[in-house]
Amino acid sequence: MLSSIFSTLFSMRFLVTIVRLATPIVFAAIGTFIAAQSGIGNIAIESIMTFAALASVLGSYLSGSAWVGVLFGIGIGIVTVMLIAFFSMKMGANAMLIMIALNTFADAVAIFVLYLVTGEKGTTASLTTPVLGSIDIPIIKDIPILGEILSGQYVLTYLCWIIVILLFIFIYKTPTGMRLRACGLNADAARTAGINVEKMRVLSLVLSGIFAALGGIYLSLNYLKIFSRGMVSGQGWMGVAANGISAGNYWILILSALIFAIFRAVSIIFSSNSAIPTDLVNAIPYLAVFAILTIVSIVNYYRVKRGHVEEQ
Amino acid sequence: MTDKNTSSKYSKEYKLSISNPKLFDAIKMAIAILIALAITFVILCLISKDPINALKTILLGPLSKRRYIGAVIESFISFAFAGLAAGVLFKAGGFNMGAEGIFIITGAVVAWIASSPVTSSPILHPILCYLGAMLVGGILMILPSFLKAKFGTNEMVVSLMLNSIYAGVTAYIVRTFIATQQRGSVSSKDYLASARIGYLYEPLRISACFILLIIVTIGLYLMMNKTKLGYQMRLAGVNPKFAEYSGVSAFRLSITTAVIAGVLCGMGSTTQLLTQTSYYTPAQSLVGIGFSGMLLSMLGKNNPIGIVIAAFFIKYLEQGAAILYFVDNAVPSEIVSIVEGIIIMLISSQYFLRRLRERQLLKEGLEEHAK
Amino acid sequence: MKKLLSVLLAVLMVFALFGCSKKEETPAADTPAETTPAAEDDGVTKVAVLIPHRGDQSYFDTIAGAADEVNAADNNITVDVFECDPNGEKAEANWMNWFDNVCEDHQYDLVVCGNGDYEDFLYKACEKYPDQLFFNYDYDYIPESGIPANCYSTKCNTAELGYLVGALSASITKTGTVGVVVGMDTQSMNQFISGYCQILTANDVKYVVSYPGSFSDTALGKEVTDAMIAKGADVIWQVAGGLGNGVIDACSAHDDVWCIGVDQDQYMQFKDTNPEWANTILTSALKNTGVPLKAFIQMVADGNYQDKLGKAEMWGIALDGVGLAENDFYMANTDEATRAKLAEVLASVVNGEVKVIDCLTDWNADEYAAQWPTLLAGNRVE
Repeated sequence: MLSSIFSTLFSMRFLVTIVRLATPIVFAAIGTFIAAQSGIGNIAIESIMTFAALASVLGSYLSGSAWVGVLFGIGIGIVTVMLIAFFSMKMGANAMLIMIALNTFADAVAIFVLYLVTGEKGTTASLTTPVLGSIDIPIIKDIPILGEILSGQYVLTYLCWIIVILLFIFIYKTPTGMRLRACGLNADAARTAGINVEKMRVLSLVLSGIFAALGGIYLSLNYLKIFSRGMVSGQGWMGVAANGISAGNYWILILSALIFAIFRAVSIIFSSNSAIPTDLVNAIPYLAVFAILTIVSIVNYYRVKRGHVEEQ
Repeated sequence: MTDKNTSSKYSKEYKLSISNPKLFDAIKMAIAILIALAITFVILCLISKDPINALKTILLGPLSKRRYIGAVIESFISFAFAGLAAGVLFKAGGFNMGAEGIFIITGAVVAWIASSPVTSSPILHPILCYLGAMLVGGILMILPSFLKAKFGTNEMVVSLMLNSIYAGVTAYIVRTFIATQQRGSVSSKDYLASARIGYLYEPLRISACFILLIIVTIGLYLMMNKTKLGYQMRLAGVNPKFAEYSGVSAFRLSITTAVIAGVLCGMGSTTQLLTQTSYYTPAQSLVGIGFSGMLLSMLGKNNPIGIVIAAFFIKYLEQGAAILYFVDNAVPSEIVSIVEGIIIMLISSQYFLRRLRERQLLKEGLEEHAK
Repeated sequence: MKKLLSVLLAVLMVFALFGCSKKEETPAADTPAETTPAAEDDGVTKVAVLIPHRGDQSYFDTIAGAADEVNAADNNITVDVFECDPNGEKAEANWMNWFDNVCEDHQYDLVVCGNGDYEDFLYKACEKYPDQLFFNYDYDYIPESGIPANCYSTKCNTAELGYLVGALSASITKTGTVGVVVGMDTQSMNQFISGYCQILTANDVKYVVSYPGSFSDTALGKEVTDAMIAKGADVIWQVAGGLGNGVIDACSAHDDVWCIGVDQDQYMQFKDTNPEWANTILTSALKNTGVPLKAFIQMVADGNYQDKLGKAEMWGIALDGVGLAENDFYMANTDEATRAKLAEVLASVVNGEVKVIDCLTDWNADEYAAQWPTLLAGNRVE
């Protein structure tokens, strides 16, 4: 039995699965990250993913085109984020609590809308919706080992990784990105330097909304072909957690998201195994984040303390 | 120099004018609720054939039968406890969102004690359940706050992760140690009869838990506003640096706040399980109460009395919506969630009606100057 | 300021107007009824069905669907379906309130509820309203005091259903390995696969069993199924509610893998809107909860239900409580030999030749803990 676990773990299929599972988590992670960088923080990722997943399927159904559905999904992401911006920046509400409210009501609102449009409350399976597919890259797919991983992935997975690289360049290599980070590091200093902090924050929120939306769109329009009640299942929160671990480091963020995907894949293997109880298996990804986060902060704490002692 | 000093805080004009912050807050809240109801009305027009009656049912339905009010009274207690727990935490400036996980895991404690023959006294058995839940809740709630206070760990993410971890651990505990095999979902054995809590006044379904809630709320209010600890908490919530410079130990404060919140969660989970269920299903019985408590504390502005009133109000609305649904099958019950969401968004907006207030203040200032 | 106050006052007055109209009367508090139940007063039989929510597109939707059908038919029967618990909180205050709603004024000849999660509330209502007629469409256990005298409980024999599915899988598998995805590892869910494991072990066919631990995480369902297919399973049964949609999706990506649906005829469900999915669903394991429901409603309408009261009965293959969906697609994709063999298996169950192991009703908690692991392990591939 253990041997079968090992053989699955070290198979090519496993790596392919990880890449597939990672996409929504990576989207959620960069969505949280870009908002955090400008100082405003967005934890409503889970709700945006839910709304976008539903909106994109409905959009695809109404228009007959999958890409229009994608636009619908992105649109809803932007609308939600502007709602947060309006209430927190213009009306002075505590942004954090608005986001908690959104997360709590996301499912109820989504089901309500689903009910209004389709008359059903479970899934969109009764609608015919064009969906996005996967891409086979002609030459790469024949490369012996890497070919299986690099080619044949879903369209939005490729988009995800392209965005990851572009975002890195944007945040760290362009003047706008620098200004954005300045808002997060010290808003008052940034304002004095002439940066329009409000505008930067709104920009980062919009990007955050778009990325989170893409995560949801991936789930319902690319990976599966329907919207199903409760389908986001905490993957938005995994992105938020990845940001928590990253402590501002972009590549650790991506790594954390991948680690989450790995743990999800591991729990899949264990689900058909009698050795480990399912309940504990499902808790593994969260345990991993908790452990990593705690260890990282403890290590940091002692490092800073030692630093102070050495200074003296 | 004038004896009719209209800008004095004690003058009648001031008390009634918008520049009185308390009155302003009250008006703001009333208007927010009215707007939310107006939006509800619009939605009702879309889905119901008789929107006016529908709105009337939501608002007045529960008053029509004693059992409706009784159901509201019965079900708002644990909800209020969750709100109180979150209120204490948020008022002191923390972001520990672990209430959800604490509710679930203390539920396992309650179920264990309730289904074990530790005592046959109907008074002692529930008390033991409460004590067990409060103990475990108080201890476990400390973890994220401790990590934050000592090592600066992000307590929000840690507490959220713990929620999921506790959920898995609870399911494991229930399944392995106190499971009943007879039901579809993983569930605990039935509680013994001595553990269940009955009513003191049957028609309105008032139980001892209701009295407990009142006492705890008053206690919290007194603590928050009349004791040194409460003052320190509020100070830390408003300006943590100032609190620290004034000699308040941030560490001790965080731990104390967390313990109080954890104990409140324990009270909430015990109440819910012993009055609303006869066995514990980890995946269903207590899910969501912790999180909705956080929203509740927002509505009640982290003030114990406000929170309890808000809890009653929300459950009242839910009951109204349920009655509407029974009478008019076309209106789905999700509508109440939407109303709640709108109310929360509006009430938590500080700058709501800001311009109106500013204009009034300016006017009064000019009048004053003209004298 | 004055303007604001006057606006406020105006709005409040409007609301006050609403309150001025007649309020509903408070009925006498909870006195037991004197009227006798059933027997049409005005020729119409009124039925109330209490379910937590619609929209799972399997279990509760089957009940709701059957109820809607009876309601729509031209038969002097009306059926009202109420969604009592959309958030699934299982709070007693809420459910007893609903029972009060439908029982208090004796507007209904029959009140229907069921499912292990809500049975307790049903039996409490039976006690509270001894003159009201109740029906339990899916019981999980029989209380110590027996079934109340004003209630009839039924259960669709999912163990026999699983037995059938196992028989089918054994016949059509080309790789010798089949699989099943079960939402949660509980005694009640395992009733679906106790017959399944029994027959597959007897026929020496290997099987993979996966418990993803969720009824809604569709992505997980898809991945779990892929893992099964990689182990060689080519006939995969899903018993996992919403998560099952992910299972179907994964199967549809492979030409040589069949999927078996559950609760509803899932081929018909997807035939027009999602042909890719429909074409991988060979058949569906139907838990015809609607069959005993409709039968009993008719009995109540005809007035000859008395001998069912106080009883708990299993509706298996013989009573059409369970069965496989034999639609055109199924007919087209199975050969005579397979269907003949299946008919044989069916007959052997109906005439009692074969005793299908039922881990839920045959065993109590201790026996289950002792014997289930062995049954599950049979020919399981891990």
